[in-house]
Amino acid sequence: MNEKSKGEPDPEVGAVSTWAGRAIESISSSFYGSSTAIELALCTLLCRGHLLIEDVPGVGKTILARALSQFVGGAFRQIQCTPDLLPADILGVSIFHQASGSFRFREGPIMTNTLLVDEINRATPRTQSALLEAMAEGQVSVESTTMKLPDPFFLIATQSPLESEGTFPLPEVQKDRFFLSLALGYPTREDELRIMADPPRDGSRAAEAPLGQIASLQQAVTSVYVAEELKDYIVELVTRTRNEPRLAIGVSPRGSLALFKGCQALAAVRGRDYVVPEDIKDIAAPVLSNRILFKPETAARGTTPANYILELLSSVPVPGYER
Amino acid sequence: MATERRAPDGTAGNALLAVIVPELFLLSGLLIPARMVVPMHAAVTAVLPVLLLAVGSVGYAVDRFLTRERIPGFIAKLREGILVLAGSILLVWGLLRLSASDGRMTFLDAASTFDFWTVLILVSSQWLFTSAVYRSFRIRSAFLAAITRQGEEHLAEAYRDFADEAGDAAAALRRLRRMVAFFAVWNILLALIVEWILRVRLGWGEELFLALTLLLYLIVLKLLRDRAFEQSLLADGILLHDAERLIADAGAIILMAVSLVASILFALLPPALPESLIGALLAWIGGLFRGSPHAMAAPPPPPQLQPNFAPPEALRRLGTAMPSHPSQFLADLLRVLGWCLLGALIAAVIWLLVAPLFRARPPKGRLLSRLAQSLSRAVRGGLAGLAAWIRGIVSAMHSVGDVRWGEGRMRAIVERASSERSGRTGHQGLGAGSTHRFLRAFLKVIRWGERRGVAWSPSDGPLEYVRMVGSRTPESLPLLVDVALLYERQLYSPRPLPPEAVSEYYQKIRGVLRNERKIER
Repeated sequence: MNEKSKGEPDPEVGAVSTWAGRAIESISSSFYGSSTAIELALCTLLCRGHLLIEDVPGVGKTILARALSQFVGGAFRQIQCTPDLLPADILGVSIFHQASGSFRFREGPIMTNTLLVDEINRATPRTQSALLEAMAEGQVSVESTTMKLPDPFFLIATQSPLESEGTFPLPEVQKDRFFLSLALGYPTREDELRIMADPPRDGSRAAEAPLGQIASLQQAVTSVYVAEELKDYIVELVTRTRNEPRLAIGVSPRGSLALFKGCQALAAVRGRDYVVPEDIKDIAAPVLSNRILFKPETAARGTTPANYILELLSSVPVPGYER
Repeated sequence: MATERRAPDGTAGNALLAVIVPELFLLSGLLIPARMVVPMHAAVTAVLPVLLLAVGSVGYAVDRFLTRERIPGFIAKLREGILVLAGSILLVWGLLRLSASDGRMTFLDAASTFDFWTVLILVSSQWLFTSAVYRSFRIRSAFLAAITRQGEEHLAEAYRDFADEAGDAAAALRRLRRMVAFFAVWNILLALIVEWILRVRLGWGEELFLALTLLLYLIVLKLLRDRAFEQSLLADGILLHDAERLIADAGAIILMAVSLVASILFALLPPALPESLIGALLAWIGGLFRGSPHAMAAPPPPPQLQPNFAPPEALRRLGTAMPSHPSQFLADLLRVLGWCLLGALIAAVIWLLVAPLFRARPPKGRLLSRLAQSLSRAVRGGLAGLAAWIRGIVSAMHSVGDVRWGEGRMRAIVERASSERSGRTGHQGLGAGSTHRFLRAFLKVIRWGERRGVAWSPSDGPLEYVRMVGSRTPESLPLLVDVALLYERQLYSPRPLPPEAVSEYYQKIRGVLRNERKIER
């Protein structure tokens, strides 16, 4: 996947590629899955987005999240969601301090650089929505006080799409807040054998990349060049979802912006300072599939959002050949 | 997954018809009836303007019919109506004059008696001729669409999806033109030799001049049509399939061969033979090509046969008394039949030319609003038609100075695209010709992949496609990936490829294609 183009890219973009190469190498030592999943997770971080990992239990969602946070460094917190989890358990709460006779705010686990929200769909909608402001604005408001979250703030949520008892599906508005939704899938035969031979462990390794570097990498990604034809291609993809009769909701402008930023990040991770159609196609399904909603009759037929996006990609001509 | 996609089929086998049918239509539908009615001794200079007018009118009418053209606007309708009326009157008048001239009228005779009409015939015929030429490529695509029962848009899409590139189509048409020129030279030389033998040595009539002139006219018409077709292909980016291109070439060869045989027959057919069944049959066959067994000056015609005559006289003779000579009867019959055919053809042409004036969608709504809509549409259409007419004249005036108008236009399109890209990216890219070559080279790789059984779709990215091909031919994968990366860098990067990378690109493509030959061996 990581095929560098011929010719030297922009030095800043080259730094992104080097960083991503090290990240993939490091994360692969504890997460035995596809490197594409790691690439996409890195893209999310580089675009200042948040990641939703959606898959069946036991495929390494938590391991990937932990490995990623360990590589990035900074403070790491984890929340295990349950139905009785309250917003205050996440954001923080004011506690009366007897000695001083006043209330003091005790910050919640959200005040961190990397937050792993495990099994997010087990939390009640009230608790889920407590994360909205943090994800969108990078701040939290508690008792009329607004507090900035640390920079970078990277939220990784996991959920299992199969379980329905005792779960609360994420509302569409909150799904849209996630930059992309990732499905890991089952490991390959070789990876499975590797897992049995050397089970992944949650090591407490030191951070492998300086935290302060992340901001400059995030800035570098925005300088990746996207040709006008490819911008048109992105708009065409998004517009078609809005005119699709099978869909109740098409992709929002936030979605098209996410796709634009995502393909820039993927190009940089792959060592290019310009985007090619394959970058868009590779990241389209993870970015767009959590931003569309089927009509009930279509959903009843078993069509999945990811399949629909793949169908969409195969129906829109890639620009470039006709010139 | 990609192998499930299939090439559109059903188009290639019919391209032969698409090339031949318009030509045969022109030859059999117009020239043969015209040859039957026009006296053999009429001077070439008198016949040519009338034939030009007839050929131009037919081409123009067929074009309009096939493309379902509708004349918008009052002014445009009026202009077209006047032209059609004037052209039709001139055509009928010219033919009647020729027929009544009994072979003695020349261009100078016509010019000296009524100068204005002669000039008008020439001007109108040139106008119709030019219109027919520059629109004739649409006839071909419309024929192709009609024969394959596919819409023109679908065909264009099919070509674009699964076809050769425009450059190869242009090359094929250039080959076609070379063939046409070759056969044209052959025909002309042959006609000149035969003319010298028959006319100078044996003292035969001047019909070979007419044949030669018509042949030259058809060659010029064909060359111009091919030129217009080629330019339209390039301008629209419509691509031509390999097989179809070959069939088109074969069609051109067959046409040229038929034309050659017809020329030889035309030149070598004997004059009217003495009374006999075989003689009558030969005279009838000869009449098809020559109009009358009396065409030749030597040997002299039988004394009982009448010379060239007007159709009413032939009709009267057929209706009143049985002629003493079977050839006379056949000649009269042919003459009347030719006039009937030509009359029907002229009527059809006039109808086809007039039809677009009334081909309008019925307006909806109440009477008053319908009237208002009609008026508004007529005014808007009139203004638009007038503006388009003026623009056409101005554009024609500009293009007059440029003999190589087509190439100039194409170069301008490519240069504009290139400069837009350079302006956007802030860098100078490859030159227009080089860019074209660069893209064509990658399309060769795509065709190579298709030959390996991996169908290409417009929704495939370059790298994505070569990876699919690489899964079939792992030994070529590294080269293919390198080629695709260089191609994408040229297309989507803000910096153009340096010359050494361009050379590397071509070298790797040659490497891929050499692999194919190794595999085949």
